[in-house]
Amino acid sequence: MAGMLDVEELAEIVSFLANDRPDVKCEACDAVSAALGGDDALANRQNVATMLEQSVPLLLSKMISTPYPPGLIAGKSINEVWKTRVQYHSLNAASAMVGVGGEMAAEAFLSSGMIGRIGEIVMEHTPAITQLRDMMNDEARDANESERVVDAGVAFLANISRTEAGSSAFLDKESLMTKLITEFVATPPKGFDCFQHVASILMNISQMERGRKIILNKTDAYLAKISPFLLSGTTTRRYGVAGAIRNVCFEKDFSWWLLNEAKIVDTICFPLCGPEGFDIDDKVGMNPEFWLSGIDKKREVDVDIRMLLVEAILLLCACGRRARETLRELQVYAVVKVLDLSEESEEVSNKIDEVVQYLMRDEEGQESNEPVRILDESELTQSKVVKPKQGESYDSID
Amino acid sequence: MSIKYYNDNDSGVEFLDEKVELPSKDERTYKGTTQLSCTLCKCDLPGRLFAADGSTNYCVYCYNTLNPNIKNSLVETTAEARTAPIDADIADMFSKAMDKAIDEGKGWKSEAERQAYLDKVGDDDFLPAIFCTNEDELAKAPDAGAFSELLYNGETPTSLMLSFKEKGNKSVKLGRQNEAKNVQYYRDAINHYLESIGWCDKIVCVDDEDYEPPKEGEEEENDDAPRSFTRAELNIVKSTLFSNKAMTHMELKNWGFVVEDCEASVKLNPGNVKSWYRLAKARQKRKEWELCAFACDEGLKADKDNAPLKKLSAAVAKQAMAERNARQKKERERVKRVGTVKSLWKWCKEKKIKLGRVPLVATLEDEEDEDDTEEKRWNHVQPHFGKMPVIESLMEYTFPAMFLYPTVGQSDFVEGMAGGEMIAMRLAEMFPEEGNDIPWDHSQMFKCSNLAIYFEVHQTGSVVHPHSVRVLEDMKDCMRFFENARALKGADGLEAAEKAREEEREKLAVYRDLWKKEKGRWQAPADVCDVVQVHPAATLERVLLNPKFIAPNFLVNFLIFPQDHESHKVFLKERRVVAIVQPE
Repeated sequence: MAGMLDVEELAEIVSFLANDRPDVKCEACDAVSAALGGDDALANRQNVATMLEQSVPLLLSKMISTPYPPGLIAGKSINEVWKTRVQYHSLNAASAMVGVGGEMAAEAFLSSGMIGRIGEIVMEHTPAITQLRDMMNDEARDANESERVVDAGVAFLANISRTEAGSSAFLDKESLMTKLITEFVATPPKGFDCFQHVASILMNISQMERGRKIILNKTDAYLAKISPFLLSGTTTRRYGVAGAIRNVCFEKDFSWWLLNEAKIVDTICFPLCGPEGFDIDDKVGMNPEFWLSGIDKKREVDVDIRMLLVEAILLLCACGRRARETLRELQVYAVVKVLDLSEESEEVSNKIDEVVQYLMRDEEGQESNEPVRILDESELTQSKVVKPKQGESYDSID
Repeated sequence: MSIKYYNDNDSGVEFLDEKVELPSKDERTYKGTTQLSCTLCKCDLPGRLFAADGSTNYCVYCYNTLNPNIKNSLVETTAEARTAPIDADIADMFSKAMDKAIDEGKGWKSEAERQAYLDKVGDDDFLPAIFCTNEDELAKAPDAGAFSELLYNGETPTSLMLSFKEKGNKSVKLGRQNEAKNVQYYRDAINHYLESIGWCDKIVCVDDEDYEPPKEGEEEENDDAPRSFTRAELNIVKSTLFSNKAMTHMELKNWGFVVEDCEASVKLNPGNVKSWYRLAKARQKRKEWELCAFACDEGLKADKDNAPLKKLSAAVAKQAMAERNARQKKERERVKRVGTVKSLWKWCKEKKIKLGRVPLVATLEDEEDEDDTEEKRWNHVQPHFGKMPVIESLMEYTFPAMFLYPTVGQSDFVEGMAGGEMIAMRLAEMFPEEGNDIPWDHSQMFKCSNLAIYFEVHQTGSVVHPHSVRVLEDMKDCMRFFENARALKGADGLEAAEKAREEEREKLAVYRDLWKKEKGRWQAPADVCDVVQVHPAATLERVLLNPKFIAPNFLVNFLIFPQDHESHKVFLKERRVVAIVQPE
């Protein structure tokens, strides 16, 4: 699986990718995914480099772009299913390439209009998905063809939006983004979640100022729509939304709106509260939801997501004195203090210390030193690479 | 009349004219069966005498003892009469009947079949149902169904289920009416209900796979014959059965069984309000307030205006709330404790003091250690008294310390030894120069000026014996170790102890694997620890900051020997002294 591809193997794969038969194409795509899916990062990067030289992205884009010509394989007629399968496999391979290859691979794909094509695929398959969802929304079931191909497409977008070129290209297609966000918000909790990686896309586009402005747009209200998914059962969704919120808190100009209108503190602090409850003094000014569930409240279990949320609070602290005073009124210090007691990760613990330092400091005579911390663009985080699933069937849903 | 002696052998009867040598009286064997044994002495008739009606036989010996009059009345019967005791007419009738049966096809279809049956009978494994002693044999016996048929007289599972339900209901009614408060009625009712539930499982529902609709022309036995059920309907009936059984248990005050039955009942039919009520009531009796409140809520979901449920809900609301608050309080205390450990860790990190963990379990499976001998031995080695280091500031702190005296097999525990305290000072307190009052120091060999102090060096390499001390890598390790140690001592309840045991067992498995890779097998013994000698004038701080020192289980362990004692010499031979901690 891992390891460097030698020249013959690569040539073989390239020839299979160009083959007419769809099943051969699918196998070749799987070989590409496997070659890039190993643990050896260096080998993966070298493989991508060689593949780029051989114009593999072009071949993959062709597979996704060209509507499959009617014809025969071994006497049977090619039907829509094969077309979708070819798209699915090639999207997986493309996803892997962009995930490992970064900017260069992204550019190669963008030049062949991948994003537009994926948009078309999404539009094509969404009615089928909506129908399935309405029919069997309460059962856990295996993915069907439409869902898998859409999921692969969204995963590709998530990986390509990690790069700047990819993000800009994606933001150019506003209609696609609107569509994806609508579907993301509409998916019920059970059943196969094919739009979960939209959260990662949002996290990645929020790295750019343009992206942040779109998310903070008051008319579209995307922020309010995605905030509830911070409590979703799927880790990908929670991580993506937390990342998007964290990046968005970077915008100092919006800090007043975030704190007072959008009530972002409620969204951020709720997952950080646990079953311990609070002292009576701490509850003054605090949102009652933080303690109302009592002993049944479960804290966010994923350490990376907790880190993102604490960083979001830290970013808000750095937005100025007014922001800090609002945070104090909302008793963020109490929440964070209780969180720190049982926090097992040292990194998160250190971040919490920083927050505490901000919140506990004496504000008098500090006017000239605003802000103590310079917010660096490089601090903005991006989503983790989405690795395509190996093999035909999906594992069970998170 | 002459006595005729007959000699029985396989080929039939022989008449013997001469007197045969018969076995002696003592050699006679005794049967006891009615057939072919002497009527008087029940022996095996070594030579036979037949009497008039063929039913009375005498052996030779008994014949000789007979009264002559009786002897005269005896009539020999012939061999043929013996083997064909039945009348000729009857025999004729018999054979006619047999022929008729064979004509009707009731005989063996072929010789092969007959032979097969005979073989089977002779086979030891073939056990007719009547001889079976346990359920497995009954399952193998081919005619087991016949007995069931016999017992139930061809009734269907449905009718049986309903009949047992009726019986159960009747028993309960009788039990309630009974003035003497005889509880046996209720016990009978429970058994009836149980049987009814058993029959439920045998009913084939309309929506099952192997359902066969009744054939055309097969009439129902009578008009109230039960109809067929769908799976959903059957579940409701079964739910009622469980509910009734629960009610019976309530009369008997078996609250545990009530809970069990009610849970089964609501699983089958969540709309069964009676079951929810009974569940809530049972939980109340068992003082499980939160669970009671939960059951009330679920019941009210099914039926919003149910007065008894509302009343019960109100009655336990306060206690349920109190229980929840108590749980929350416990959680908060736990979190505070963990927070203390966390700050301790941070402090140790700043001062560069290494903390170590001890393994908390000794076995991977429950069966490995039958009577907990391993575990007990293990827990004894590193007891945790619950006293932790107390930190005031970077320089002001106390650490608990253990002074071990291998010479006499004794130890002393100091709850808090200050960081700046010289070890010599502590020893001078415990073992004054003039003499001490310690009962185990008979020969007064422990005098502070005469003592050698050592501590063990743990974890010299990266791979450590599974049962040895190993260093705690990071904050998470430290916190989890502390919590698990507490939980395994039983401080947080059974569930927490189980979880802790799981976690620690996983760790032990990993350590064993690593040790196995290193040494070939995980049981390979650990190397003996090196020791570091401590100058008596050194302070505790010097010891703690020594790079070779690890504090296992938040404790400092000192080994103390009288300098000139034999045990000290032996100790020095066994262990290497790799360093000395000097005072500043």
